[in-house]
Amino acid sequence: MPATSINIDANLCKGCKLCLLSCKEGVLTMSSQKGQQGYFIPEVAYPERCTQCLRCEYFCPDMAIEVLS
Amino acid sequence: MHSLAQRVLRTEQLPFTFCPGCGDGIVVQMTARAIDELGILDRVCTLGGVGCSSWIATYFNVDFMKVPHGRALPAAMGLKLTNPERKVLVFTGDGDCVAIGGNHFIHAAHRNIDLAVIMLNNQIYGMTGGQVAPTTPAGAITVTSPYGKIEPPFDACELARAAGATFISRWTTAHPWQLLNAIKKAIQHPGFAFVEVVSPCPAQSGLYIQGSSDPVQLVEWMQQNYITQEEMDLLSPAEREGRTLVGDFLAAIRPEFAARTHELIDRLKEEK
Ligand SMILES: Cc1ncc(C[n+]2csc(CCOP(=O)(O)OP(=O)(O)O)c2C)c(N)n1
Ligand SMILES: [Mg+2]
Repeated sequence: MPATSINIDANLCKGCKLCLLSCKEGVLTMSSQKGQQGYFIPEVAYPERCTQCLRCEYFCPDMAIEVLS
Repeated sequence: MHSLAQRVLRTEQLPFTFCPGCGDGIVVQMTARAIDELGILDRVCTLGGVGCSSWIATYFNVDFMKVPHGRALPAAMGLKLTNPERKVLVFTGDGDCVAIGGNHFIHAAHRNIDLAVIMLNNQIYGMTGGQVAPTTPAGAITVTSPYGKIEPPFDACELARAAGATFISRWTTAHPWQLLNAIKKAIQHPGFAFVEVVSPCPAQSGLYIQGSSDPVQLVEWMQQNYITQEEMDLLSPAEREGRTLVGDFLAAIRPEFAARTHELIDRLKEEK
C-alpha cells in the first residue's frame, strides 16, 4: 500500500464534521486545535486505515480536504 | 490549497462564504471537477441571481454575471445567444428559480435553450433569514409560515419536464459522485438541462423545518429521505411516504433554441 497523506486546510475548514461521518474506516478524529475560521478542526489520527476512497474529500463542503497518495 | 481549486477556482475568494455544513460548497466542488474533467474552463461562463446559492457562480476562474434576483435565466439566454459555443452554467436557488424567477424558468425550459441550470433546493429563502419558499414542505413552520405552510411543495423537476426541459436530474449533496456525473451530463447535453440539488441549510431550513442545525444529522436525514428508484422499490407504500426520488430522470434530444436562432440569422443573411 502506498502511504496516504491527507491534507486538511486549517484556513478553509469550518469544523462541520462531515468528513468524520463520511469516512467508513475511522481515519479522522476531531482535534483540540482551532483553524483560522475559529472552529475545531479534524486531524488524521489513523492514516494507515485510509483506503483512499476519497469520501472525506468529496463530502467536504469547504474543499478543505485533499487526499494525496 | 486544494489542487483542484488552484486549477479551476478564484482561490483568493476562499474560504467560501457559506455557513458550516451548508451543501452549496459541494456544488462548487463538483462543478469544478466537471469543468476540470471535461477540459472546458476556457469556454465556460457562469451566472447567478441573488441568494446564498447564487454565489456559487462567482467562485470559478471564468467570466461570470451576477444579476438581480430571479433573473439569471433571461441573462443566461442573452449570453448564450451572443455565442452558442459558450458553455453557460446557471446557479440558482429554489426561491430564485421557482418563486420570483418561475416564469423565466418555464419559458427558458420551453425554448430548450442550451443551458445547464443547477438549482439548489434548501426548501427555503436562506439568505434573507428563513422565509417560506414554493419548495417548502406542507406544514413546515418558517419565519413567514408561523402556523405551518398550507400548500404542498412545488416539484421543480416536474415543472421542468412539463415546460419542455430535455435533461432532468435530482440529487443531494450527500450523493457527490452521482451529482458530479449529473453536472457533467448536464453541461454536455445539447438543450435545457436542469439539475436539482437538495442542499442542507443548517442555519435556516435545518433549524426551522428539519429541527436540527447539525450538519451531520442533516446529511443523514438526506440519505434516509432522498432515495433512488431501486431503493424506493424495496419499501412498503407506508415507508415511501415523505420520501423523495433522486436520479437522472430524463435525457431527450429536441431542437435547440440558440442553434436554431443562428440558423435563422444565417438563412436571412443569405436571402438578402
Ligand atoms: C427583486 C428582489 N426581491 C427580493 C429580494 C430579497 N431576497 C434576496 S435573496 C432572496 C431569497 C433567496 O432564496 P433562494 O433563491 O432559495 O436562495 P438561498 O439563499 O436559499 O440559497 C430574497 C427574497 C431581492 N434581493 N430582490
Ligand atoms: Mg433556497
